[in-house]
Formats: sequence, C-alpha cells, structure tokens
Amino acid sequence: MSKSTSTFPLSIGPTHPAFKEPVKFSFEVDGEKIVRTDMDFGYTHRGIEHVARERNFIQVIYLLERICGICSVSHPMAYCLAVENAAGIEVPPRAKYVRTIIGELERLHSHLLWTGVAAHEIGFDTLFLHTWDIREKVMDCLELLTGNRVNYAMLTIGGVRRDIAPEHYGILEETLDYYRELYNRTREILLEDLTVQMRCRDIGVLTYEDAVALCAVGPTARASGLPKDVRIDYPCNAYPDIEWLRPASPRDIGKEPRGDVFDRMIVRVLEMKQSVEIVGFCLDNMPDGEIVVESKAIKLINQLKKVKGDGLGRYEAPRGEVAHFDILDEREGPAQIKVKAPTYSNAAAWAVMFNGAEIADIPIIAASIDPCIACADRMTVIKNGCGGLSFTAEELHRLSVEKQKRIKATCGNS
Amino acid sequence: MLASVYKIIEQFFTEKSTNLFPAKRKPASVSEFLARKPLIAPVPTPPDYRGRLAFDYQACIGCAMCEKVCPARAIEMYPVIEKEKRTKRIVIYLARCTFCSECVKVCPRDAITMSGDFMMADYDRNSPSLVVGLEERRKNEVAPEEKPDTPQE
Repeated sequence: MSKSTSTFPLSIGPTHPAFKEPVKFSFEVDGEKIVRTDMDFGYTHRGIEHVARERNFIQVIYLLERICGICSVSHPMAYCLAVENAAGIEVPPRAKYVRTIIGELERLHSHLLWTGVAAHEIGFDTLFLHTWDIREKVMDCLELLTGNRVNYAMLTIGGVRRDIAPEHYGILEETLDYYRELYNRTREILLEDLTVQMRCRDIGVLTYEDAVALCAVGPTARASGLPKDVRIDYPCNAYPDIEWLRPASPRDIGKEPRGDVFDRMIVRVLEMKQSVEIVGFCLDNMPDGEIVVESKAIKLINQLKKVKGDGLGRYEAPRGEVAHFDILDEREGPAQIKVKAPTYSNAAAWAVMFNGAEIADIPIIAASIDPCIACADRMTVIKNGCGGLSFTAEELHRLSVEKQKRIKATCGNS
Repeated sequence: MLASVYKIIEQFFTEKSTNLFPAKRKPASVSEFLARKPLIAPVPTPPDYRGRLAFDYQACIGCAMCEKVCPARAIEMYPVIEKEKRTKRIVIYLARCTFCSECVKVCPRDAITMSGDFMMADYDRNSPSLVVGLEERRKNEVAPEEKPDTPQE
C-alpha cells in the first residue's frame, strides 16, 4: 500500500460490533472523510452449493432455506422455480397464491427488521424496539401458517406443503388491519421524525447512473429511481394477476429520489404497505383447488430423476433479486446449483456510497443495503493456509469458462 | 415526534411478556425463591407447530423413506427382529434435526408425529432426551446381518 501524508488506512472487520456479519472494510480516510474503500468477503463461506450437489431434490429445499435466515422463503422459492422450470412442472393456482402470501409476509417482517436495525445503527433504540415489537404480529402469523417463526419449510417442488385453512383467514385479515392502522403512525415516526432525517438525508448517495452501472437490485436500486422489481419485470406466482403493482419509489409520496439512505427507508416503508395490500388481494381472490402437484416426496424424486435439462429461477427477495440456476442430470438431486444472492449485486455499490462519507456514518451506510454476507459468500480462496489472493476480471472469466467446460463434461451434453 | 412519546408512555401500561432476571443477588435456596414468585409462562404455540418429534415403534414398518428425505441426515436405521422377520427401525437425533416435518409427511404409517414442545436444551447432544426412540433401540437392537457377499472361510 502506498504511503500518503494526508490519508491513513482504517481497517474495520472482519468481525466488528458495527456489522451483523463478518465483512472486512479497508478505508482510506482523510481526517473524518472516507476517500477510498476496499472490501473483503469470504469469512462466512459454508460451501452450500457443494453440499447441495450431494443431496436429493427434497433435501436441498431445506438446505437452501438456511442460506439466509431472513429470506428463508426466497431462496427455496427461486430453487423451486428453477427446478419447475427445468422439469416443466405447472404449479396449481392456489399454491401460487399461498406462495405469494408467505413471500409477502416475509417481506413485511424483513423490512420491519431492517428498519429496526437501521434505527439501532443511528442510535435511535426506541424506534428499534418499537419496530421489532410490531414485527411480532407478522411473526406470529407466519408461525400459525407455517409452524415456525423462521425457516418455514413451506415450499416444495410443484406447490406448497400446507394450505391456508378457513380458520386462518380471519386471523390474517386481523393482522392486515393491524398493520393498515399502524401504517400512518409508523410512517410518521420513520419519515417525519427529525432524528432519522438528520442521520439519513444525503448520506451514502448512490446516483441513478451509478445504480445502473453497478447493477444494484432491490430497494437499493429503487431508492435511486430505478424502476426495477422482479415481481413486475419477470412475474411469477400470483404477481401477474395484480395489475396495480408498480415498483415502489420515493416519487409515490412526492419526493424526488436522491438515492440516499433516507430514500431507501422510504422505499421500504412503501413496500411494507404494498406487501399488506398484496396479501389482502391474495386472500380476496384465492382460487380453490390442489396445493401441490405431487405430494409424495419419494414419487417426486423419482419423477425428477428422469429429467435432463436446466432451469433458472428468479424471485424478488426483500433485499433484491435472488436467482438460482440448476442443472438436472438424471440424478436424485441437482447436478449443479448456482446461487446469486441480492447482496452480491449490491455490495459493489458500497464502494460508491462510502465515498465522501464520515466515519460515524459507516454503520448506517453498510446497513442501508440490508446486507446478508452469508447469502453472498459463494467462493473462498485459500492458498498455503492463508488468504490474500486476488483475481483480475480476465482471470475470473477464464476460470469460469474452465468450470463451465468441466461441468459440461461431468453432466454429459446437457 | 409525538408518536414516539405516545409509544413510550403506552409501554408503562402494557402487560409484560418477559421475565426479568429474578434475583439481584444469589438467594439462599434457588428452588424456594422460584416457587415464591411465579414466572410468566411462555407464549403458547399454534396448533400445527413443528416441535419435538415422537416415534411410534409399533407402527413403524422400516421402509426407510424418512431416512431418505431427511435433509439433516438426523435419522439413523438399526436392525431389529420383529415377528420373526429381519427389519429395521429408526432413531432420530434431535440435536441434528431441522424440524422440517418432511419425515412426518412421508411416513406411510404415521409412525412419526410432531408436538408443540420446543424446550429441548441439554448439555449432551446424545442424551436420552435428545434421541427419539433410544429406549426401544436399547431394548430391541440386534447384530447387523452378515453380508452374503463377504468371503466365507
């Protein structure tokens, strides 16, 4: 590292109380101002893709649920969509609606969780406890519908595992009314309180051009004015039926998007409202019928064993787009599986956001993209027992071409 | 601003759902102390909660389907002799279990069921409270069958 008289390096991480997960930041600071940012990932690599290749189709669902504790329906959803895509399975309409309801309830609780974390990062702990308190209601609702607060085990290939029983409708409607009533008060605390505005306005700015160039996804992109949402662009489940669904934007409440932390908060608050309305729509228009194509797991595995081909599944997780690419090769489980988590796309935007920020704003800027490092860690390089290897773009491209050839050789000519 | 103040005041009048740490310093007798002051009970679980597994030894037919679908590989098969026939039964290691209820659903005889019990903490992962079907295993397990392809002297 070159030595400079005006700046000095500041290293934060891999484990630091300001971050919820291990990630290492190397900043160059000039006084209080950050002039350059470097990031280092790979401290929570668990080899999930490798483990998934040694398990059968049913086992993989529960493994992928554990990629991320908060998006624990988004990853299996993308995987199920990918396998259904490859095998040509058509999901029954009722299952599509149940999937949408569970996905939207998850988005609601994830955004409430994020709001609490963001409030905690700016030192506003009253708001943190308030949002986590109102989050309990949706967690109870999910527990009632799926049997657990996290890791819902709700999805299976070709449908869902549990139906929404008639007695659940009343409780769900009650929960939605609770959130509709709370919306105005919560919005007032979040979006009109001076404490939040002072710490979040014009902090961690990601401009529209940068968001396009760095391929930001999810609320991070939408806060920069990018109308990008997988639910609308590549609709799956019940989303094609919801005609009024539009990507949330700060323009909805009459503010021009600036791409700062506050805009990300606005987008998430609006999306919470959107989620409540989507769940309401699904409950009103719930079709009757089957909830799964093949309910017997062993039979399903034997059916998928005959399939050869590949499929891509895309789904809008609370944090952004999650994509799974699966190759099926007449085996009991997926021959290859590739996971693209939203944080992988958004992490590059950090480098721009941190530029010009102050050291005290590091936690809130880092938290503003709702990072899930464990989701994004897909590769780690170790040489002679220590890290520190770096690759250029050309080398990475060459390695990926080599790997693609290797996969093709092992999977026949699929 | 007013909304936050209102929320804080509201908190003084809501019913508590958590227990404070019960003592400031160590009481003379812990059990006596706890009995004197009743604790707030845990929130009840919903009807279809995925809690502790129960295994019905008599209903099981040893088809090994649960072992095949178990994502955590928490189910182990052991040989037994039932009705003069060689078959297999299972034990479930709850310390490994992910509580996905896939085995409950796949079982053709409903030999595995789930309850609402979630308090399972223990110091030893192989303790009898964390291994479902351990008692039956101790009672009924027989030596594994000799493989026919092993060379005979």
